[in-house]
Amino acid sequence: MSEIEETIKRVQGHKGVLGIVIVNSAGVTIKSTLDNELTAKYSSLLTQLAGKARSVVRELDTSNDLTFLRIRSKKHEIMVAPVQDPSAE
Amino acid sequence: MATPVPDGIEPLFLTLASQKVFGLKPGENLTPEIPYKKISRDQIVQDIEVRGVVSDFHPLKDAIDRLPDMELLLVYDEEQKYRKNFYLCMTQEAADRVLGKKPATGQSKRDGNTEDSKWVSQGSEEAIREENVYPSRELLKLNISRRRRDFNQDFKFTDSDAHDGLVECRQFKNPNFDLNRMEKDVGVQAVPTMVNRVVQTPWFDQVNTACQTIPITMDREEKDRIMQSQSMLNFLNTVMPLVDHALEQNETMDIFEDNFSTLGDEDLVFGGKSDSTLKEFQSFTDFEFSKGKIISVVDARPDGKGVVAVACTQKMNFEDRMSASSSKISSSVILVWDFINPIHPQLILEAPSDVLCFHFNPRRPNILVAGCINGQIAYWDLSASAPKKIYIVQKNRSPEEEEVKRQVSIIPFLISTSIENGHRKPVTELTWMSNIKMTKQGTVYGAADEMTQFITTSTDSQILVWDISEYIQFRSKEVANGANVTELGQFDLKWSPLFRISLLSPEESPLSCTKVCFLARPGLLRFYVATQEGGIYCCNWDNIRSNHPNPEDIMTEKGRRHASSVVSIQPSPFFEDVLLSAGDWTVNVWKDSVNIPLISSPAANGYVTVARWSPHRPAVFAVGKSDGGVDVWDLLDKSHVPSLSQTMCPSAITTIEFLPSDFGTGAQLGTNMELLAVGDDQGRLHVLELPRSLTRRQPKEVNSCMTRIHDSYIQKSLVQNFFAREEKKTLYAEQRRAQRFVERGGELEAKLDWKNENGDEFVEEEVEGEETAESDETEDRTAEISSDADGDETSEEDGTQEQ
Repeated sequence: MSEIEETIKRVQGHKGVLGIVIVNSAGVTIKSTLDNELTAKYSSLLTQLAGKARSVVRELDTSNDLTFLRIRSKKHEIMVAPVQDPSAE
Repeated sequence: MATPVPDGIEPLFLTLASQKVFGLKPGENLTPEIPYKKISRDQIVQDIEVRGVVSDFHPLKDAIDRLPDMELLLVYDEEQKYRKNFYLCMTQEAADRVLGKKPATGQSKRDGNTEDSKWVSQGSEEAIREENVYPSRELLKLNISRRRRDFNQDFKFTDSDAHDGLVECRQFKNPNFDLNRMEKDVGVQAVPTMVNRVVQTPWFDQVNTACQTIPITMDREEKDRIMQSQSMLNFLNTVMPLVDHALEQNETMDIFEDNFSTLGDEDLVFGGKSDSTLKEFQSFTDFEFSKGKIISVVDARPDGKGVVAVACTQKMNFEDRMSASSSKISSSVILVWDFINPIHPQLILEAPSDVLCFHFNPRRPNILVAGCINGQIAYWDLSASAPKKIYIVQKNRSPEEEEVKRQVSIIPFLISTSIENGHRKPVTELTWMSNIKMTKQGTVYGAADEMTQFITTSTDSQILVWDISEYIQFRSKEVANGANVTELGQFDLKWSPLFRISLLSPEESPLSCTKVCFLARPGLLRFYVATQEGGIYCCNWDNIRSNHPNPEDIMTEKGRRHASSVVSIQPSPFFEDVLLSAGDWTVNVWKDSVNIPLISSPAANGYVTVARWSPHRPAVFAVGKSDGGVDVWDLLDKSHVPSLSQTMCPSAITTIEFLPSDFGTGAQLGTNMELLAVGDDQGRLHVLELPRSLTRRQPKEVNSCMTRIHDSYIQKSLVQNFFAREEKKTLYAEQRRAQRFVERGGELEAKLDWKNENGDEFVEEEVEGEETAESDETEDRTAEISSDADGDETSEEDGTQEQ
């Protein structure tokens, strides 16, 4: 659907955004605007990290859940938005 | 001595009669080998009954009665061990023992291979018998008695002298103590200590393991299907607001700013006394080579080793030079100073003639290129040359001091350009080209920062582009072949420029350029040329290449001119389109798109000789003057007067360079302050420390980090805003002026071009007050225009004097 494409383009067009990667819960890349190798790295590493972060949040309080994860490094910032319900992608 | 009687053995004395009864015949039955006889108990009992008390066995009657019926051993005791000639073993054990003992002499070790031999008496039992003590007689009994009444008689004691009846017992030396015993019987027992210890070492089998993974992928159709699905849309709709929020946060504030490093700086006020002067850190001068000369350029070696080079030129105007060159041969040198040794320069480089401009190659700090006053360009490769050693005599200051000969090594230039193909007039400026390269045909293309090309300009209105890549290749080939000293000298005088540009002003007259600087990025090449007439021209290279018909688009001149030649122009290190120019006694800040300077300084006390942007703060620049003062302007602080004005030395300042931030790190100079190098016209190089307030950026002055991420995106910053405001103000002022001019009835020129206009009024508007008083003085000074700024030949009386 063009809506989806449009949304993705909108985020991509933000100032400072280098790329977008969409990953399913198994860690398989669905869509990416970066090159293959980088995409594979980001998918695998961030899936694990987001999973770990979510488990941290839930262990501290089981009624809580992870909404957003930002990793700021010297050169870049990575933003990870996991989806709340575990049944969808 | 009798041996004690062991258990179960009873010694007996058997008379001959008893012996006969039992058939014991010593010597016949009872041999030394078998001195015993087994006699049954009953026999003994019978004997006792028969002979009664006479029987020898009678004392043992009870014991024997108690014994069971068994055979008793009767042993003939020849040696009379137990004092009787026989003994009877009462118990079986005793019998066994005796039996066991007896055969020991002859019957032991039956299972061994040794042969039993009879014991042969060596006479030892005689020795033993002799040692034994036997009483030879009965013990005597003695009975002593005394009558009772003899006891306890009266007595009388008398004293007597000590020596009567005194028996002296003197000490005497007992020789036994000194006796050295050669042999001594000592008992020794050596037993090792034994300790129980247990050790356990685990051993793991070494196993090679490897793991190889490939990521799980989805094929195209799957991906497309998911992308089109409704759930994807829902997902994006839930997630996008969060992402947008985060991105907006990033836009509003600088996420990469290090908050701690700038923590105390907001409190730093520039006006504080202790903090706001330029302190002299180091001063370099060489009596032989730089005394009395003008320092024309200062440049820092790019690899941060704490090395600075200065070029010294002589103070002579044109006629003197002409006459001097024919008579005296003087050396023109570039001195390379190392901060460790402020007395003697580290290196001395010899140039074909006085050097007006030079630079180290930023990529290869060993390579130096300099432009000389005779139009040649000299090239040094510090790693290649062998220095030649000359002796110079130090000028002695007092007559008593002897002449000291100092050995100095001079590195002569390796290559110089050909005189026909180079510049015809002094080379006034030399700049390395970064980010772009030019081909022989003049096409410009973006290239990685190799920096093998540089451009030079001279007052002969030419801009030449030169290339050193072939010399670098030659040298690297030499090094690969193991050569120590280069053969580059063969190229001397053969070096030709890569490309030549002749500059003509829009009025088709040649421009005598004093300085050039350019902005270069892929797709954009612009020169800014400053001329001796005081004009600043912007030359758009791309338009030349595309054969643009309209000459105005190629070369555009800035609206205002300096009163005399422009001595320095420099683009701002922070903003691409902001330019700083210095000439006569003012300093102007230009923006590329605007013809009028954004900021124009009031006339200073002396001629302005050089102006440089500070690399640390975007609103700071330093200005050097001919009266020896250094002005530091901070546009954010005060934009009508310099923020810091200080007189450095009594002689004119000829050049200023901000040393790069990493200047001393290689040599570990230990300075945390930023340094400013100032050269004067007496041959001294001063290195000053900048106060902290001039080097630390305020927060949000310029967000340089974001520019790295996205070139076209520069966050709004204080200085950016400042320049924008100035631009607006300038344009507005122009408009107002034009209006007023029209109102007064004058002609309005088609272009807002104030070249011929009396600049007086305009300057008044820009700057408050002080300007008008000084305008009278400046008229007197026009007659004295001398050329110590660039050491050039005759200066021109400027026709377009505005004041």
